[in-house]
Amino acid sequence: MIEIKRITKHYGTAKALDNVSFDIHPGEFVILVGPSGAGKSTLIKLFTCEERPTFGQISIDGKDVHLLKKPYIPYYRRQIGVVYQDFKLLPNKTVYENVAFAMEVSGAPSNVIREKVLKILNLVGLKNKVDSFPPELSGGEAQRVAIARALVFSPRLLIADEPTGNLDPNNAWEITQLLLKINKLGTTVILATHNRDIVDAIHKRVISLKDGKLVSDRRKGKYKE
Amino acid sequence: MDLFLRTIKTSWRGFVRNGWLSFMSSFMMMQALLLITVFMSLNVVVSATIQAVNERIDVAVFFKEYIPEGEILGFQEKIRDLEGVKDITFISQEQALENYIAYNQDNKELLDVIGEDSSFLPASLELKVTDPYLIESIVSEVETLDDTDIILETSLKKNQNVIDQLRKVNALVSVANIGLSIIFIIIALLIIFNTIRITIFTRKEEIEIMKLVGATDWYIRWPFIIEGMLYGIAGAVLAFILALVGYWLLSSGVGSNYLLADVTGGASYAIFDIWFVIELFVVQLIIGIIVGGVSSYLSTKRHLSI
Repeated sequence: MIEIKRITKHYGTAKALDNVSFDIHPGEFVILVGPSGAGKSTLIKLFTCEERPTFGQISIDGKDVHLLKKPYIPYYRRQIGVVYQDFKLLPNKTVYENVAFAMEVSGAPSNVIREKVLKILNLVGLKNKVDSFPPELSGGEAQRVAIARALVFSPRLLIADEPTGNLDPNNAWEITQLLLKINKLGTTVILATHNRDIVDAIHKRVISLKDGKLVSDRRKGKYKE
Repeated sequence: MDLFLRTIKTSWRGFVRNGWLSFMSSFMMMQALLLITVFMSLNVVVSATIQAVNERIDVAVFFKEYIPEGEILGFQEKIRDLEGVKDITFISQEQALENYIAYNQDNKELLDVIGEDSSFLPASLELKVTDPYLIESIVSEVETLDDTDIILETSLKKNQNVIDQLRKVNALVSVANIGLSIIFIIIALLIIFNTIRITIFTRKEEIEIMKLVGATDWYIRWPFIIEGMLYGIAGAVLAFILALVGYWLLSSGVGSNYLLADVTGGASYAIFDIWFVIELFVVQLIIGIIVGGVSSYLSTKRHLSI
């Protein structure tokens, strides 16, 4: 159970988020929509502890994530998978190493890492690209590597920040299908997106933000500015 | 152990895959270490020069005529243990004459006048001192010990002016040497630190990504620190090879030996021996490793804040 309670974030005098509250149940698929500057990215940065709220709290299973002391943040981050619009892959590591890195940081033994990484790369359909470097991949492939990396810890929560923003419609659709598949396997998914077609097609819960405020929250919703 | 091997492997991969960046960093490291090489070599030349100059500062005690050699040698024993006396040489009248003739070989007329008569030159003790600043006190102690009044005079009065000049030169050279050393070392450290800072800055996104996938600070930091050390090692090896080539050119080049010999006052020992070369390499390696590692540590720090 994820609870967002009266979350507020100011940057100087600008209010990026203003008193936003909602809950997410385990296994849900939630779409965050809203124009640029609505506060979607800020909310995601609060989830990953890149930013701290000015006021309010985000709790996962009753624990306020922003009360975590700095040394514990890496361990918290391993429990949530995040996928970004610009993929954020390590350019000097191969596809395999990028995914394996996320497991290596936890000190998992090499044979366990190998087995799991190959399994997950297979799941996202990249088994034949394990030794490629990120610059050699297409946008769709790079995003799938990023998703594989986010999944390698079997997180309960997967956050995708505009994952289709840099992709053509075909790839965007494939990535969305992949996220739906992951959700079906039990992972809670938060998808922040601009893509009206995708939002309208998948009939999931839609939360709209505008100017830092929550303007609507509908089950099986459609895209609405 | 698994973690250690993984870290080493990651560092090595980073070093190789960022080939151009690694090469440039190692190259800059080499330049900085060469600065240190130049400074260390300069230091050796300067110390040799100062030593050579100090060896020239000595004092002669002349004895009155007809004082028997035995008595002078007895006096030599008395002053041997004075503080600051390094070496005493007895010069008999005959020896003094021989030296004098050798020195004035070209002046036939003068030699004719002197002939074989050694009695006009006094016998003397030549004192070498450990520290030229002790000369005055040594001479006064020597004079106090002369209870039978056998000393004619000392060379101190005559040479006071020269000694003062030499002391000034010594002091100046020492100060200049320390000043230059400090400047060189600061420049070298700044070059290394800045190079590594820029190298890591170009990879700051990597650090951010690593943080976002849940790597702890030290897990991220170690490979960068080891890469920094690798720049240090590569730079030290390159600098060492260049230094060897430099010394070889210097020592085989026409006339350069004379130059060095001149600077060091014709010191008869080799000033750049194999131990100096090894010492140089070890110093470069240690500086390269420490400064490379510490610079990496400091440079990653600011990108780890997210």
